[in-house]
Amino acid sequence: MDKKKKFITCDGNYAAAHVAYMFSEVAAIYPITPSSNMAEYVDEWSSHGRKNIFGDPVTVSEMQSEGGAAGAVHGSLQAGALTSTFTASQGLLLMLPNMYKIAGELLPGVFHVSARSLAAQALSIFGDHSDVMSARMTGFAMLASGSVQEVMDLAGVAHLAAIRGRVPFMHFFDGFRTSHEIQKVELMSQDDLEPLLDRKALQRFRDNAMNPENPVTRGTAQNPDIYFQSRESANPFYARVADNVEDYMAQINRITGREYHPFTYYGHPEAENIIVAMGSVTETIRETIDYLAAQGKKLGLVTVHLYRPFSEKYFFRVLPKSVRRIAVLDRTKEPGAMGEPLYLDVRNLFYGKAEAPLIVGGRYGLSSKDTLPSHVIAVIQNLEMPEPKNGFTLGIVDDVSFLSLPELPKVNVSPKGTFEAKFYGIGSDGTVGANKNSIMIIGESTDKYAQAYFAYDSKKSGGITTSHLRFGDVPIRATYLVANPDFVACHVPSYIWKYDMLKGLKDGGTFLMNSIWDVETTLEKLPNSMKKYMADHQIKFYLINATQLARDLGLGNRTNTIMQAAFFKIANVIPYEEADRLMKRFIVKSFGRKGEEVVNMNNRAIDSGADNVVLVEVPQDWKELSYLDDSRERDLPDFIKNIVEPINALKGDDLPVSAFLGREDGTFPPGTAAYEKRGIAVSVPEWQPEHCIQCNICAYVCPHACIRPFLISPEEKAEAPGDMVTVPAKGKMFKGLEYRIQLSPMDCTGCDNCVQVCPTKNKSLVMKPLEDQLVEKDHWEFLAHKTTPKAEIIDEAKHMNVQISQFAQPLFEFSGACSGCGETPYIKLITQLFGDRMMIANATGCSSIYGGSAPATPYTTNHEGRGPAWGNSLFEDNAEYGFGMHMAGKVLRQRLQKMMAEGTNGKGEGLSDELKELFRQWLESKEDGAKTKTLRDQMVPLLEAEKDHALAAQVLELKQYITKASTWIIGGDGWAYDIGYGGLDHVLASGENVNVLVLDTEVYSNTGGQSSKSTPVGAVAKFAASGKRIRKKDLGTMAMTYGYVYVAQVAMGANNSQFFKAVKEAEAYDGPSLIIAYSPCISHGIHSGMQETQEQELLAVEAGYWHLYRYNPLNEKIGRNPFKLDSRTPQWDKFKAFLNREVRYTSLRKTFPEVAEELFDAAEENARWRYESYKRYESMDFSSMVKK
Amino acid sequence: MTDLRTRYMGIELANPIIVGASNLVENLDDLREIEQAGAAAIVYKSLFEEQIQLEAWEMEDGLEEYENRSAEAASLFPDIKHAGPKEHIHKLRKTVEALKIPVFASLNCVYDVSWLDYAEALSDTGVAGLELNFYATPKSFTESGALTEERQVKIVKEIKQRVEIPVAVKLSPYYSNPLNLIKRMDEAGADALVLFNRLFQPEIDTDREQHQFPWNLSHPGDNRLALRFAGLLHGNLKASVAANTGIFTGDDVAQMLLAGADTVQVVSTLYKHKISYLSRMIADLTQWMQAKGYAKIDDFRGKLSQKNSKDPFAYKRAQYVDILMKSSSILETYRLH
Repeated sequence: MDKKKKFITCDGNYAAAHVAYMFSEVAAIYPITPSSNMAEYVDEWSSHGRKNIFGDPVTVSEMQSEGGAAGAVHGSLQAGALTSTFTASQGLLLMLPNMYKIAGELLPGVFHVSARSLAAQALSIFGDHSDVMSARMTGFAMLASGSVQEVMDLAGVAHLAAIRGRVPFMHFFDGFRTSHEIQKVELMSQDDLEPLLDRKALQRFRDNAMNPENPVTRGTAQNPDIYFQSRESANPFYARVADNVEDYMAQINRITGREYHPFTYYGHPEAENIIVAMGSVTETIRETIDYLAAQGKKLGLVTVHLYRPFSEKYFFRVLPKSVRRIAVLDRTKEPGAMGEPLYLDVRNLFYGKAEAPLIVGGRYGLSSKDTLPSHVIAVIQNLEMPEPKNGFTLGIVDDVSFLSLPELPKVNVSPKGTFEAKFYGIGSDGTVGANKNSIMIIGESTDKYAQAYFAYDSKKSGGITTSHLRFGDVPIRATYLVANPDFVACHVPSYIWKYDMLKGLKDGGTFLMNSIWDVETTLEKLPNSMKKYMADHQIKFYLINATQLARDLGLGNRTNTIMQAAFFKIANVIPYEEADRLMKRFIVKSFGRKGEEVVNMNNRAIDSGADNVVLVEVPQDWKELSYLDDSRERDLPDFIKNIVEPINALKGDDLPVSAFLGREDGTFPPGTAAYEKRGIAVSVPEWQPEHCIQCNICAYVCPHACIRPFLISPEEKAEAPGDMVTVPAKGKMFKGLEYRIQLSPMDCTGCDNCVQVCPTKNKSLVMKPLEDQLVEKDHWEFLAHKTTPKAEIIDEAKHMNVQISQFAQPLFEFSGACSGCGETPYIKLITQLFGDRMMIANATGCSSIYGGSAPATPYTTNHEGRGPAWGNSLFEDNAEYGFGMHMAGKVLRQRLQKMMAEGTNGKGEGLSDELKELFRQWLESKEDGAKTKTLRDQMVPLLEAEKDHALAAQVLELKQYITKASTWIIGGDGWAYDIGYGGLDHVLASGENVNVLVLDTEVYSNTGGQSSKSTPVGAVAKFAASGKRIRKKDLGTMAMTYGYVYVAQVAMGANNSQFFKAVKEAEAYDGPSLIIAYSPCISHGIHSGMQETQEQELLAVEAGYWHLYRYNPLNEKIGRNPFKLDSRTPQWDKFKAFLNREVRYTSLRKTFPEVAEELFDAAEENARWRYESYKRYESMDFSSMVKK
Repeated sequence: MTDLRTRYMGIELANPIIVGASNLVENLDDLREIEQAGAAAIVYKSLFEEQIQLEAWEMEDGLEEYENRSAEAASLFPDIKHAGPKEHIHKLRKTVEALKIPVFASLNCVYDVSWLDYAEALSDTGVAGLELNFYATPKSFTESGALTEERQVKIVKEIKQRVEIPVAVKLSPYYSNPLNLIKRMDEAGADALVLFNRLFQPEIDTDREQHQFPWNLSHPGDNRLALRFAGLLHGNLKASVAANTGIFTGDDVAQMLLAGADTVQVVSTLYKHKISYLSRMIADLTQWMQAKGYAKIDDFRGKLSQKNSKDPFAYKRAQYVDILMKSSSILETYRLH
């Protein structure tokens, strides 16, 4: 290679998108983690005018689902445009039907897939090959890349070979590990790749495309006579794929100087034991082979790049003749199969061959489970055994089926000079951002290679982040988390009690801690285990109070730059003077346009980080301490102690398979979130009883159910902690009871919405520092666990009004939702009203992530052990899933109905009269939820007593169906408006009694802010970077057209009783109900912050941005208009002011002012149009509709 | 018929009253009212680069606030960049299109390169002229006054080469010798001098011991400084002179014209007395001219300027000396009241 190498520092998704862009004319996509960024990059480049090899920007279309995207890809290819898509996991599965079509019709489409787990016993967003393996039979060629560099090098081969050979390609790489790993890689340029394009083949593709000039018929129906032969006729195309790929790889090899083949061999030319694998693990295997080679072992690896078609010719071309034993690693699980697919393929290659090697297979790395060099060594050692284990698993302890290979001691196989660092941060503190900067600085400004990988938990507020950084003088091949760091930084002081951060820190390594305490206090607080580790391992211990420094510098809570400078100062990755210069240059680059002051402030942060980091002496006598920290034995359920707590302490990897015995189906018990007590708030509300009017609105709006009103009897009061203030409860029905608003300080996220909505002149809640409110922990414990729920008063009365409803226990609490979340208060109220008989089908999205991310389950139980039964199936099928739940209940209740009817007739002979009477009552009121609960309580003891009677025994078997379940289908707008709309429409049309709650954030919140059909005109979102141009879909009106669907549009912050009424009416309506709830979200960028999400709902309604209405078909029957507009005439002069309160709108004004003006006008016009439509609905006369 | 027409930077204006740069021009309805009320021209509110910088920072902050908190949503918005002065320019263009009277753009930048780029962009909006607002609160203890002046003169020269429309320069009075700087600006090609801009002056709340940022409206009487300079400059420059600050009444306008200003700029009076007060000022000026028998502005413009003053010392130190000399009679006068 004579030209100078050009490097960039990017992730795998970027590399794939970079190359895909060159060869794509059309991209039809749908967002899905971890592939979304590829489409987002392509869309952004297109909007900035980047040109593909044809000199045009790529035309990008976001579709309603992956199924839709695949259809559009198919159509676009069929009509002659080079078309690509980007997907993963369930998305790829939705594309399967069209993949058969595209391959069957020999169209050169390319799918880039960041391979991800499939939802089975649980969803996982992380990486493995379950998805791509599920597409291996479609007829797509499959090309695997194992690193960011390989993605950059090989993505082009997929496009080029597809064009030349007409067989479509799926190019895949490991989700997160490769898609999101940032690496310094050599850039593949358009100039490099363009000459490789087979222009003649391209012309043949264009000429063959459907066109009136070329009128042909495609997609015929064929019968038994010809389908088979016709299917076989394409075989020659598949026969040529491997040669095409080898040819293009040879050309890539010339450009890059790296060596690729359909199968690439690495290792000793006379190896006897080898591994066959594909994907990112091959990097680790190569690294380990080198490590073992230094010990004299002759080992090898066959890396599979072209997986389909699976080429015998090219496999044997690289396989050393010396090979005697082969271990094949599969990153997927095919339950019930003889082995996983790659293993079976390799074994098949040798079928009938003389002197075939011994071949074993194993599974590894499901859901991004790390595969470490020690695991690779275990594979090698297994091969060296007299009888190697087959069908093994790696990286877990399987004490159930005993398939796992033994966990060996960890080894460090990184080349000398590799520096490894690990940073512990909290979601919003900028740690990840700062580390991304560091990697860019080192990657782009020095000769060093750099790698970064970021791990997060599933919490949307206050979650832990760990950044794994490596720097080295040669390309970094360690495709696993940093296990033996040279450097560990703790950015969050409280983590010293929560996580074993020093685990694996090398002898002589460095520990940097951001401490809000002085040195002495810090040392007092530091757990003994940390002290001992530091003494035993000669750790250099540094402290800095970045929190205080940031405040002093006017940076608020942004400690990132200070910590970054401290890192460079003490880590010596590069000389500090150089780091200082590079950091400051980077600051000018990122902040230069924002003025000198900002640059100076950041420069001061750098200086302050470097100047204030202090080395603390580690006394030798710490060696005498114990590794066992004093910990109070807490009285916890076994599940919490044995499963939940280890997972939360980042020790979930250590749990053996047996930990999940009895929960093989993925079941988690309810209410585990209550044990987390995360304490993530800075300030929490303090109740001011003297001002409180007991309206309970604070509790109504609390997104995390951590502030609640309690009613306390005199007896309970006598037992209460002495310092717990109460006041007499207001209202006749509460006579004699005391009242208190109680906060659970450790569950509060400090969002402040409760304070904002408090209606008293002198606020009855005042935000106070968390540390001053810890006394409330005891009060909470007492009230939540030592007082009765006053069910005898509340159960009936809670349906009366908002205020009383809040005395009912929320059965959805302490979720991981964002601080100030606009969605969760809606769900919470429903659980307060119907939670003990609720079935929830939850679409994938934010509400499923905060609703059920293991091990935290926020759906909980009441004092009787009853509560919502919650399930998540998929994203697209949620309405159908809930419908199925409802149908199951319906059919089993019909059986109950039949049995009870029989019980009251002849077959009931021998049953007690009381039971028969209860049967009669149930038959009369079986659709009345509250009544059936009472009947259940009365009936079950009698059934138990009379279970010798066959009928009683049969009814008893179905006792859980006696209560009328309240079925709720919950999801976001991405589900309801887009991917799930077809199903939602069908379920609503069914007329069945299900309730649908759409949490409308007007954007795909969970996957990072992509535009949906709910996104209004003028809002900036991904795939609508210059503002959404299409009017928001009116889902409510569409549902109303059926005439028998209850529909409500609500915004609790605007009118809390309207939402309350809507929930009650929807639940009571014996038919389908749809509630569309306006849900302010972090993706709106509310300028006044997430403490004003409730206020924002109010303003949205006042300004006419959102309208409140209820459509109750029952009214029609009595001659009334079913439609009632509940919001007042909008103050249209406030409309644009409302838009100006949110980043999603103001950013359009700041980036495309002319467009903003046009679209904001259109947004207002749309809102007026909607309002006028609603006014028209409201003015309709239904008097003639009275049923005579 | 009294003729109020005047020429400013080579542009004929219907009368000498220009509405100066302020937030009054945010709203198109207000602008139309200003035009209706008789304003001869308006200066559109200043484009402050510093504001653009802060906006860009704020926007980026808003876009990035919730980044890197979850594996699925490392970012929430597309990668979009602040468009710099585009929004301002867009609104300015709409204003120019909406009004019949001349509209001048006003500009204040931080970086030299921005002065040139932004000036060019503003000149493309169809404005009648450009006002360079050299508003700079002294911040540096090391930069010499000469250097500051040199830089500003250079900016004027370069902008004059880049744009074809007339360019006014608005200065503060806080230079060691404003007259020299004004002369150099005149030689650098400035088509008008606007006297003077009001520097940002915070107050301190002594109870809360915090800075306060009050409205910086001018007061009657604040016009004296500009009046003096208008008198000193008349007849000494190629450039036009616009006086501003503290011009509240028709009489204040007459005073400035007598001293030698070509136009005046008003803002505070419209905040205090509403936009319609403009017509009253024009009517008062007309009435005064009629009473004095002036048919047109040039009949009396600069009549009391330093050049036309019988006592050439009157405009320099003399007035101060005069006051001292006449102090006994002043006291006498006050006693009489």
